[in-house]
Amino acid sequence: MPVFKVSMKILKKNIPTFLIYMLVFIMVSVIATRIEVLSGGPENFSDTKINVAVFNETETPLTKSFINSLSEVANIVELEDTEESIQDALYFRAVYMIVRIPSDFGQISEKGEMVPLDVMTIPDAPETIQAQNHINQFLRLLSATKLGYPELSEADLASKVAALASNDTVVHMAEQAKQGIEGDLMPFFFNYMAYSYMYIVIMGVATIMLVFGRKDLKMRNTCSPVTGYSNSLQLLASNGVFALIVWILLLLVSFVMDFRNVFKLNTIYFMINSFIFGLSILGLSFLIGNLVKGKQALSAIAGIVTLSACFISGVFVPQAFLGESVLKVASFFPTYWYVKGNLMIGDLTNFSNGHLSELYSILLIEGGFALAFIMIALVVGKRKSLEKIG
Amino acid sequence: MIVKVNQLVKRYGDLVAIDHLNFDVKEGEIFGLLGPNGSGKTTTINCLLSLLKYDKGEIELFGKSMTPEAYDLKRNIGIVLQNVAVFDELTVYENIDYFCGLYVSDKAKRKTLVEEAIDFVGLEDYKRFYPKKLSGGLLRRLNIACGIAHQPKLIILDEPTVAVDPQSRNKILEGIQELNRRGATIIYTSHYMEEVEQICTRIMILDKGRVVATGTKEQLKNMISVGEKITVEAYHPTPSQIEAITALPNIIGVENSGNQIVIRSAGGKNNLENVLETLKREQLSYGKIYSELPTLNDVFLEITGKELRD
Ligand SMILES: Nc1ncnc2c1ncn2[C@@H]1O[C@H](COP(=O)(O)OP(=O)(O)OP(=O)(O)O)[C@@H](O)[C@H]1O
Ligand SMILES: [Mg+2]
Repeated sequence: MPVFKVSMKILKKNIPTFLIYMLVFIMVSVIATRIEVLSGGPENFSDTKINVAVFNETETPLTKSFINSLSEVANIVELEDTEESIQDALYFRAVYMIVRIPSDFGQISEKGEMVPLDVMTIPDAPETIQAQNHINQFLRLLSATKLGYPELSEADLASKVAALASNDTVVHMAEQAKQGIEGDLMPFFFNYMAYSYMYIVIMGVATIMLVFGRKDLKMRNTCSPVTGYSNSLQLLASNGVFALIVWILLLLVSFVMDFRNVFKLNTIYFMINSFIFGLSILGLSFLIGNLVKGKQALSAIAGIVTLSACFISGVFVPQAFLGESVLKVASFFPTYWYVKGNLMIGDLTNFSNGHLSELYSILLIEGGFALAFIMIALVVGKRKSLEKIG
Repeated sequence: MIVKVNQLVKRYGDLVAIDHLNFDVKEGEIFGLLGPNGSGKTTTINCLLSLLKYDKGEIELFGKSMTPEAYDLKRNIGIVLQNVAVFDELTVYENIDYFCGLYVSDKAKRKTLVEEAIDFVGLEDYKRFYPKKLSGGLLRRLNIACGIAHQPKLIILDEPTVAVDPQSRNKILEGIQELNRRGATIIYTSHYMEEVEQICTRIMILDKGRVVATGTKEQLKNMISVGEKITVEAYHPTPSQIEAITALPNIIGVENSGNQIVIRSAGGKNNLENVLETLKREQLSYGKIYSELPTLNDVFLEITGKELRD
């Protein structure tokens, strides 16, 4: 295994460089994880409340409880009910949403549908999503309760829906609060880890591939009785060892950071997910190493590939905030599936096979990426070694 | 027959780098490939090793067709390419060990072979040096050690002495002869005729991808009409004295410049003796006399009409 041994020696020579990358990335990950967890916590929750103006035509118990419920997620503000003041308020973002409650709110129209609310928002403002969800939820509960208890008086109906709606909010809030309090850092850390993991493995693998790809050495090696296939496998093996070591180091960091959660079953799945992701990164790096010539080009490409793949896959920005078309593109990168897997694992509380099947398919897709990248790299490598040298 | 090349043609686009080349190398030979820069030596070697695809012809090594996948043939070949091919990341010892390891997997056996190779090229004091710290000559020696450590039957060296100091050069040339004495067949390319003349048992002269002449150095020199060149320092010889020299057998030209006579012969024996006798008989007093045998440069000059080296 001379090729394997020499590539390990070359990696060893580069340990200081890799350690520096590692330290920088770990620091960035740790800081980013902390920020994420803190800002996502409940204490800053009120900051995200938006201003909503409500025009209520007739005050009933139902409209009262609706406004009440809405105030849990929004600041209800006064606004003059003229076209001009509404336009101004929306334009200057003094209010994000205008809700007009019709006088027959809560009635069933002739068509058999709930009388709709008239809601106006700043177009495409993500800040309004929560309030909108909240309103929709209230309306759903209202129609469900109306169906379930047709005999209830309007006052009873109003208090029942209000109770259900605020209950729902409490549960929702409680979950968030619990996460923040326990400091569940692992899902965040594993997401951020994708960035450092990708960059370091691409750099390491390509460092080896660049040395063996040097024209003179390549010619000389081609003269030897080591087959092209054996040569590729030995390179793949040493690259694999490298990826494995980096993986273990990153795992250790995650354990140190969040030692309270190490013995949760979720941790095992985080490990499996990141391991399979590592395989796909190995394949990708092998491919890049086979294609790229020159150290400068290499670090540029490693940076671009890593950053863009991580960005569109939701490593830095949650996937929920990314557009559908972006996510569609992202799904051609293993990073997307890795992040998706992490989100799923973070939410896991039930480990029955039924709950895990979706996770398994994600892991399978990541494995498929690994296989595909390695195959392409082997084919590209072979074609290049038969290419005319001269 | 160790090497057999038949009708080899290699083109780079419109340039015909190798034009219907035929040659063979027998076991035990030091076969020299001599030619000026760009004559196609490296191209020939690279085709021989299947590093290059060629357009036409057959190449056989050890009686078998040579292909990129002929790993059993590659096992018996030692290669020293024109460009030094070593890992900058490895020491002298590690480099030789790596290249030897491509052929020999047994660790203990390899250790002896590597040590032998280091002794052979005289790098004992540099084992732990990195290539960047070696002078040009030492680097070339390392390149050679990497190529020959596994003790192959056929060794191919492509200009291993380019840009090497005279001391290293002599060491390398003696080493090659030693490898040959130990049983290796050798193909040696160079554009230095002195080297080729010094060590090669048979020489092929290339020009523009074509064979100019092949043979031992004696055979090559006999191919041309020019023989020994004798220069005599003599002051104002008389026309009759010049005539007497011109009348000698084998003499094809005599030039008299007033203080020096240049006498050209067309091969044959006893030319210098005859000239000396004539000088005595004619009572022509002379200073220094020197005689030069024809060189491969004369051969090249006579056949191609230009100097081997420009
Ligand atoms: N890759 C290439 N593409 C195009 N032409 C080439 C290539 N390699 C060599 N040649 C040309 O082929 C001819 C033979 O080159 P080659 O390198 O075989 O000569 P050489 O005898 O080894 O010369 P040198 O003494 O400089 O090493 C030259 O004219 C050279 O310019
Ligand atoms: Mg050459």
